[in-house]
Amino acid sequence: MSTSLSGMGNVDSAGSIDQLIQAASAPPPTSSSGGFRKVLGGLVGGAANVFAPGLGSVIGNVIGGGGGAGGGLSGAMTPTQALQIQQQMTMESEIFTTASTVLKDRHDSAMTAIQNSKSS
Amino acid sequence: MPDNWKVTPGRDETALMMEAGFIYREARRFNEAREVFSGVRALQPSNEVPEVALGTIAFHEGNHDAARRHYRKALEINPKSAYALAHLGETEIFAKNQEAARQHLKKAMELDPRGSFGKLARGLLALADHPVFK
Repeated sequence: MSTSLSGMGNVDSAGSIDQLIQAASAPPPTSSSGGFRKVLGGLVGGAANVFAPGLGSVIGNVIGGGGGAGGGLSGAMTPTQALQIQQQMTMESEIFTTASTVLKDRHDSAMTAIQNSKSS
Repeated sequence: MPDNWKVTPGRDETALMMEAGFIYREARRFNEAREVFSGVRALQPSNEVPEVALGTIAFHEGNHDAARRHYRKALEINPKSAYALAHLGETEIFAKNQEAARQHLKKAMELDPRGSFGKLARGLLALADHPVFK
């Protein structure tokens, strides 16, 4: 079984992670993404693209809600929608933490490579 | 480089050139970065680091095939380069070849378990395992 995460291809199911993804990717009853999230997604995605081509679009899609998923932050919200947004935010937080660690590690490895050039 | 050129840079000078190349790359001045790294490669043909650095420029430009070619060339120079393997794994993640990415990253971690290249490979592996990349 696979679920589609907006703009990011298929996601294989695996226990609780699958439930999280399903909840995050299921289109909520309201139709449009919030403007703020779209703008934030575009900005952060663009910034991430500077460091890692490809990563920016992934992050931007997650935040912006991609092609129709994501309820947006405007208007009235049901508890289910609030839960979906909370789960999506958790996933965003995870990917930001991981991506930020990778960016730091990439910098450290470049520094090590320079040091190795010094000592070789 | 012509044979009659007797240019032998010191280690500090090489490191400085590499650093300049990385600064150019981070500033997205890829042509200048490429020129610097190509120069270091000409001066140190047995050092895989400038070849990997050239690969990272291609990766930043979104050219995965060219990046792969540079990393593979770097691995010909030094088959145990955890640096080249980590970046090759990174390219495979974004080229959506998750299985190949995992193989390269795991090998990089084996070769450099405590160093920064192994750490980079571990971080990239976590990224590859994240649902959004599957």
